[in-house]
Amino acid sequence: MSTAQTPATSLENKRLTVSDLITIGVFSALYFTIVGVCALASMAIFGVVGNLLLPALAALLSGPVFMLMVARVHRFGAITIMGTILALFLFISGHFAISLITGIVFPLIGDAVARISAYRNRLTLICGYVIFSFGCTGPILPLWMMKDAYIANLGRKGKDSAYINTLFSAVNTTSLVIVLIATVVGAVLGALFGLRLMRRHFAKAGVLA
Amino acid sequence: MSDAAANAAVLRAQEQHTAATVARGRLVIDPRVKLCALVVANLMMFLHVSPMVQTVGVLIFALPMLLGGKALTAAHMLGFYAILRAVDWASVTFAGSAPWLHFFGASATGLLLMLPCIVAGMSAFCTTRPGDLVAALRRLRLPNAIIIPAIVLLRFFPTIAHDYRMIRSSMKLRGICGFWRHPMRSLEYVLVPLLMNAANVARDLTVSALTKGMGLQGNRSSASELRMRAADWFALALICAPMLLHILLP
Amino acid sequence: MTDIVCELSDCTFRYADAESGAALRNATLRVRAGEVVVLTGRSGCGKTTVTRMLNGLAPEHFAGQLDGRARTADCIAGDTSVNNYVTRVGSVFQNPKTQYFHANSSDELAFPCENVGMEPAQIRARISERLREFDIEHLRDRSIIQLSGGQQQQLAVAAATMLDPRAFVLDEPTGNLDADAIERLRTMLMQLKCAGNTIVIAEHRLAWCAGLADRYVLFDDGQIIGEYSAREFAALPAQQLRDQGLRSRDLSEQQQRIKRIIAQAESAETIENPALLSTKNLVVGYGGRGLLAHITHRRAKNAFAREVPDAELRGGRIIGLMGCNGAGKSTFARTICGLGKPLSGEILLDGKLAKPAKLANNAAMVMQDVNYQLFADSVREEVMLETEMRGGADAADMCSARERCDEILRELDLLEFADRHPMSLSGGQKQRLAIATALMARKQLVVLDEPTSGLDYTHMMQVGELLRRLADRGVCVLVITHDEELAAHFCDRILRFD
Repeated sequence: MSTAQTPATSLENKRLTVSDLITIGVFSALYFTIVGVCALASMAIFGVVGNLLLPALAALLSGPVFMLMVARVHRFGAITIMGTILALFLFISGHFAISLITGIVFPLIGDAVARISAYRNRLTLICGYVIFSFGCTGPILPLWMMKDAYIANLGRKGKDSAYINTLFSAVNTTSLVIVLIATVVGAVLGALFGLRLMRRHFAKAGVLA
Repeated sequence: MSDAAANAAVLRAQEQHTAATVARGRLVIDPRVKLCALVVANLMMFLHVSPMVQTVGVLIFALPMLLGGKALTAAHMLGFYAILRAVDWASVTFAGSAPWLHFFGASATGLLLMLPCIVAGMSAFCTTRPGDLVAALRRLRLPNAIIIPAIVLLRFFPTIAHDYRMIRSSMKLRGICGFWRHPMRSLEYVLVPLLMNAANVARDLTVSALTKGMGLQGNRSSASELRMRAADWFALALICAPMLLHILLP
Repeated sequence: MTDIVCELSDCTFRYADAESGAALRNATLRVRAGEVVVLTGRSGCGKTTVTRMLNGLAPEHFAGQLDGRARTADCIAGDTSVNNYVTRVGSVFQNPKTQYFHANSSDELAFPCENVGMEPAQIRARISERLREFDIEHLRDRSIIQLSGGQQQQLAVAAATMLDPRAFVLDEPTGNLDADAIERLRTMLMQLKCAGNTIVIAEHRLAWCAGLADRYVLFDDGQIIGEYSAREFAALPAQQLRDQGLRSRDLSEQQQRIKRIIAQAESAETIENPALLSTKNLVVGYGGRGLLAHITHRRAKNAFAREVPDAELRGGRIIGLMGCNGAGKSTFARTICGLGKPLSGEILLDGKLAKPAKLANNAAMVMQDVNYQLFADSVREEVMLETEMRGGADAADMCSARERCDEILRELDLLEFADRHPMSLSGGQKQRLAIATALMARKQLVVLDEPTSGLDYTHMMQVGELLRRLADRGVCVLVITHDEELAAHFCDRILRFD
């Protein structure tokens, strides 16, 4: 008569298992949906310029998705992959290639930060999420580049360059600072919201693996 | 099935695949070629190409949609492009007398810059079967850690809309709909069931996928063999045409 | 002597996270090549655990301790990785919606073959072969989410055959299917049986297994209490099977009763009990009315319209909605609940013409997946949700509301769970919670969508009793179901949608 037990617990195993990859895929789909909905909403309300608010808005709403995924997988790579997949699909759906770079680098750093506390400490999770949220800024970087193109276009037609510069210089630095602050604020609020949902619902229901 | 019959079936399948460039009257282009279109579109954006090169680019990138059965989408995109061009021209010509036009002009220019990418992206997304897209990603040697979540995303994404509608129906019947009065709570009521369901689906998917060999370590094959056929090489050449124009013209 | 494909030798299995005892105790079972064996018993009897040991999922994926030996072909549970089982066992699970991995049907069929590294041309040839063999060519290259549950299960069975396994293991494959879909599935399995395949089915719905199964193994509380040949099993008294929580072997009696209920004229109580809801010239449906459609005279892709014969729904009755999938039962129910506008015709609530908003105020729905309708973080909070959202009530009102809430919870046996999170409850408890919220809101119409799918006899009867208690309170209960036993036992009226 033989006895068989489950193989060595996965706490010691640092590699992402099949189960983890599928979990990451499912939550990435939710994240992708939220980002898409935010993109449509911000464009519908404010036009192309509304895109500036995209990272902030997406960060505000995606907190619970991020937190639940981290709670279920709690291994290095999950956050990075979620950001990378979003970047990949953003690229394939037509956003500028720089989305690939921002979409991979920021989530990677966010992952590393959250890993410091083995994905348990609230502060590192919030910081990790804030950094991760900058992965969304890829689609809006072209806006600053577009400003150059428009000016070049105007210049071609012979308009006064000083006039153009005064018109657009305010737009440039101000908007950059606004986006940075808005994203950080949105991400912090989103992270707190996510952690609250974790505590009130998912931990209580016993869904955290 | 006997061996001879099995071999005959395999040969038949191979022939079918070679002939599958035109299936049901639609043009099927290798997804890698469409990814190249995306790269070229990005280059065009980076290099701030002239309006004429842009127009040529947008038309070429829309071809897979026009010939691939998504003509309506292509028509929408091209119509949108035409409108943006008109707005851009108007704002630059008349901006002297109406400075507020600069806002629309700037928006139009911005969108125009992004449109070749968007059109190339739409082409890639609409006309490529998810299995072929994944096969292309595999051929690009992306690691499994990226490919598996990508497949799951493609599979789970359509169900989110259905789940959301169910949740909204429930909320409506329960009378807890007021989004504008309680935004945070409404968000909670939508997200919590969505996330619970996502966790359950992930659990069932894992069980099913494990019994189908998901955990196997060896080399995976791909049922859709991606091969560059004559039509694909031609499409590739066509896609590089805008860049050629950009270099040759002043 | 035919060899033994699946074998359990004195197996005991205890799940790692189980509070109670072992899920399976001292089970010994032998399945010979070419046999079709049905493992049956009430929910929680251990039959699912056996299927998990036969396809390698336990104890590797479903953590636990296994004593004894479980072998399928040359794989031993616990020693052999589930990866090695892939080519030996084809598995089919209960829920068609969460079983498929790819979005496209052809990709799903190719999936197992791709994982083992089969040649691409051979994969495509095999897909064509299987689609032809099972006569499911219409399922080629389709988006799986658009298929019906029955078609999804057919696809799942076909996918399980892709690697030519030595045995098939099915865990309650018909739980969510209607009669037509069950028949198609049965045909597929008969085909597999005639080709000499070994099939193990865990099931408590026995009607469709007749003629397919060679042997029945009866489980109770983790132990095997009987093994019968098909003939012996057919001779067992019906009451004994019902005591074991099994569904009827033969549904013809229920089908007769259903026919009688449908044919029954409306009884003469109309004066004291006026209709709660009545429909006139109602046409339900969706889609296809946009401007473009009018111009091009083309119906939109997913347009659907169904005429509904005039109906009257009264409080205190249990009304069944039966019919095959896609015939409009759900659309009708949604329209009656105010979740969709009728294409034409009128709906009268208490004799007055009612718009969707009014109908929504009056109705509650218990969906097939109750997870979509539980929002709060405790059971009591869930029932009090609308009351709290409305606000504006003073302390006395809130107090009496809370008392009502506790009263309702007590009546539905949920008071002891009042502080637990709704998602931590069992399926049946969640159903009762959804009904509790409907009672709290004083809804006069409660619609239930397939409340007994996948339930064994005992639980099905419990749901039926619950519906009876609801109706006795004066609520109009509308049940969408293809469960003939539920309809025959409990429905006062049945509307047939075909």
